[in-house]
Amino acid sequence: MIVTILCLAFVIASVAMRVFGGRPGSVTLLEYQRGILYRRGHPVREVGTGRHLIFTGIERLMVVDTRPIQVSYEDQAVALRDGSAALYSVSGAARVQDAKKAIYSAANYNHVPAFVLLCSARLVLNSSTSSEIRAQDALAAQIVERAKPRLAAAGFELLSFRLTQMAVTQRTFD
Amino acid sequence: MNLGDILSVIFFVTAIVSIAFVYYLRRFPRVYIPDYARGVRFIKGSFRDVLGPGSYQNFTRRVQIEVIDMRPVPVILDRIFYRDALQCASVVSIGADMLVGDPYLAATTLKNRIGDSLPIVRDTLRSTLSRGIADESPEYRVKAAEDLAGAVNEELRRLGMKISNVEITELSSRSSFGRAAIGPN
Repeated sequence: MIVTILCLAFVIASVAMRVFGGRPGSVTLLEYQRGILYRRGHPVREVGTGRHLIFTGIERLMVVDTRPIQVSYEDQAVALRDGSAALYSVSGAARVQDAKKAIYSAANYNHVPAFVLLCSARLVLNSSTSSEIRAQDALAAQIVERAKPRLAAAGFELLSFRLTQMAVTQRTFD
Repeated sequence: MNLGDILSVIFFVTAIVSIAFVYYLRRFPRVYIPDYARGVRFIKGSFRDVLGPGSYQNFTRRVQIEVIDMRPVPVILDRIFYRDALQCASVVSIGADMLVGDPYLAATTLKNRIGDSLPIVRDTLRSTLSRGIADESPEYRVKAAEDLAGAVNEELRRLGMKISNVEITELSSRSSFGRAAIGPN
């Protein structure tokens, strides 16, 4: 009789666990991945490389890829301060430094470096004149100076940035 | 029939019902809502409520939960040409974060939340900026960005969307360079 009661308790507990807690599962993070463990929808802790046991019903592991995200945009146009238009190309790379910040930074965190670098480049170039843009290194330094804190606030580290092309083309409104 | 037999019958019935129930549940995947999302719950096709973070198990097909991601989506609107209040040709580019303000409206009014909102942002941007005189000073940029955010959010509110962190990354107007140097407008 005791065995029957124990079996009954086991069956009921298994069903209750399935209904309320899901089933045990595991997630393996590779060496270039980081994860944030969520329990009942809220972040609990950051986890690193390795195998992690989770209850699939109440826990979820949000995985972040920390490999560099390459950014490359060709032939972008911008109006300069003196009325000229410039054609420029940018390339750069950034990687996730803070997984939690990166997850919350955007619906798709992979888009953040491109967004920040493009906005910063356009802003700096728009406030420059056609004579100033010849100093490409100085411009790139200004863009990096603007982009770095914004990327850091979103959990990214800027690895590289280059203005690969810069040419004054024509007047903006011709 | 003694107590042991009764318990055995209860055990077998419970075991069979439990196994059947677990298999039944497999047809309804659990919906997991992290703290950066919300769930819009529909019962028999009608809106019931908005769910917060947590894990939700449906037990019937009558319940549907649509998960809405509330995180910002960075958007760039490049080189929008317009004429300001003085009819001077001007160009503006902006960067902004677009996000869901009302999960229910966003789920029920927009098929493609970002793609369908962008034309509204573009139109509002043109109509708002064309009422003023384009000026490249930093103060004007800040004020224009605030005005723009207010006007766009007014339009997007009925769709459950909103924008924030509007930044004018490019603003240029023919009037700023001196008409004499460039020629008549």
